[in-house]
Formats: sequence, structure tokens, C-alpha cells
Amino acid sequence: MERLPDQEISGSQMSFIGKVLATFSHELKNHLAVIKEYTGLIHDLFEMKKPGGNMSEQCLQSLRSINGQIDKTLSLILYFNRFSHRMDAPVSSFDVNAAIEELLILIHRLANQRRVKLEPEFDREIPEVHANPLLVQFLLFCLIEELLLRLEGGGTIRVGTNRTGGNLVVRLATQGKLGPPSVGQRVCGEEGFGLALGTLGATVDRSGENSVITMTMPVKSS
Amino acid sequence: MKKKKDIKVLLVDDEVEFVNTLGQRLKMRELLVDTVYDGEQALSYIKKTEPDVIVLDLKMPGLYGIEVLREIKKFNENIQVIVLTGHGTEKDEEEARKLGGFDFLRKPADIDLLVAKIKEAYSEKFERAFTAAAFAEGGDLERAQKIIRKEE
Repeated sequence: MERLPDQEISGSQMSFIGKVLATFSHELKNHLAVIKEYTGLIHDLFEMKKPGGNMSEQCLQSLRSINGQIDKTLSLILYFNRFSHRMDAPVSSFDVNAAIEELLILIHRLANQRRVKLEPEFDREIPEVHANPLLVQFLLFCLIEELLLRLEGGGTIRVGTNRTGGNLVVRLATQGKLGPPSVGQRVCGEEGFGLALGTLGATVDRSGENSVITMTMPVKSS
Repeated sequence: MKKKKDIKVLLVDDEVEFVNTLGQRLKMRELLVDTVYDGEQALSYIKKTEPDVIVLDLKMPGLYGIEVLREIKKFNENIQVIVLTGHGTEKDEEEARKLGGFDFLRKPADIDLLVAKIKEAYSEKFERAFTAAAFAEGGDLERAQKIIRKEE
């Protein structure tokens, strides 16, 4: 494992981690609330035992739903655990598609609040990248947050990856009504964003079509 | 006084499984329950039907719960609103109460506590309406209006 001197973490990077934590805990709480209601319903069915009705089927259905909720919660915890471990080392070799998929899953509720769908379109042939995975996720989060703020009345953000020569390209394309760039500028205008770009040697290009942002970074092998 | 069964409750929450199951449990406790899944649906609903009590989530797609509460109260002050959220901050609670929210509960809430709060909210609405009617009958319309508007 490569060891580099400790790097300071910026306020905006802390804020990114905080937002992921907040949305994860909210999601978790919702799943647990559903489980609690189903267990309460089973309890009610037994306690209130009404004549006729389909008590067994209702109980079985509740148990199936509880099982489903537990599965969803476990899956979410698995993604969150992976995310937590991105911070184990400042630099490592990692699957970019997996890191981006993880980010999209963890922030889907944030996107959902804005009625926006996040859709991955990954090139499965992307090699592993040797960089700081958390910074990659942070930069993408900032760009996605910018688009979430700009998308008026909902829409879709397609997140695609591909390799062009020695570079990894991540492409964000939107479908939906996009407000002016100034709406989202505050997010990516912060110092932390610029520092992260510098550390990764990445660039962001907004000069294409209005609805497309690309982030390019060099693919380094370990 | 209405029986429990006549108390009309509207549940507003985007977590479909949660709100449908909660609705089922409240119906087993003899409340009349409807459910909608976001703030816009709630505002459309109240234009056609007046619920006695709304149980309202805060974090939903589209309109935030506090905004929904504000619009509900603007449209009809008599509708009682209980906020039931997994998210809410202290600031949200303060704002909800300032806007006339009856109570602020955190998910997951105990069902018996929720039913008790719904009955309390309904009783308060009924007593206010009864007192206002008494003043109105006595000719004091101004006082009656103040009571309805919770100005006294």
C-alpha cells in the first residue's frame, strides 16, 4: 500500500462525506420503519383476531415484505461499508465503475428528492485506476449535485465511463429542463473541488452540448 | 363527538410500503384513512375532501413537508397536522409548530402514541369549532373567527 504524507481534507470534501452519511442513515431509518410497521401489523393481526378474513395470507405477506426490506438494508450497508473503506489509503488501485456505482446507490435518495434518476452506462472494459478513490467520488458528487440543482422539475442523469487513450473519461448527460449554470456554480466553485482536480490531474469540460459535462483524468497503473 | 371510526385521517408519505401498512393498522383501530404519496397529491386531496387530521412526512420528492404544511394551513386552518418524520431537525420542529402543526413525531412512532395524538388533535379541533359556534350563535362573530384562527 502506497503511503503519502497526510493531506488536509477541505470543508467541501467533509461536506460530501457528511451528505453521504446523512442520506445513508435516512435510508436505513426508512427501511427499519417499514420493518417495524410490518411486525406491528403481524402483532395486530394476532391480537385483534377478526373472524373471517385472510389472516394467514396477510401474515405471510408481511413476513415476505420484512425479508425484502432486510435484504435491501443489507445491500445498502454493503455499499456503505465499501464506501467507508475508500478512505483506508490515500491512493490505491480500484475499479472505477464499482466506485461510481457505489456513489450512485448511496446518493440515489438525494437525487430522488429532486425527482431525478441516476442511470449508469459503464464501459466494462475500463482498467483499474491508481488514484485516490474518495477524491474521484467527491468530484463526481459535486458535478452530480450541480446538475441536481439545475434540473428543474426532475429528469435523468446518465453517468457513463470510457477510456480514451491514456485517459479515463466520465460523462454526465442530462435529460430534462436544465436551469442556468449559475444555479449550480457554487458547488464546484469551492476550493476543495479545485484541489481535488489538481491532486488527480483531472479536468472538467462543460463546453460540449449544454446538457453534458465530462471529467477526464489520466489512467495510471500502480 | 365523533366515534373513532368517523375521524378522517390523511397519511402523506413517499415510502409506499410504510404508509400503506401504517394505514392498514390505523384502519384496524377504527379510523377512516386515506393515503397519498407526496405533497402535491396532499394539496390536491384537501381541495376535494377535508380530512380531520393529516399525518405528514417531511422529506418527500417535490415539495418539502414544511412547505406542504404552510400551504395546508393557508388553504384551511382547521385541518390538524401531525408531522411524522425520520429526518426532521430541531429547526424543522420549531418551524412546524410555528406554522400551526399540532405535534412533531419521529419515525418509527409507536402506533398507540400516534393514535392518541390523532384523537387529541381531533378533540382540539372539535372543541375549538364547538366554542366558536357558541360565540357565533351568541352574535360575537369576531370572537368566533379568532377562535377558529387560533388567535385565542
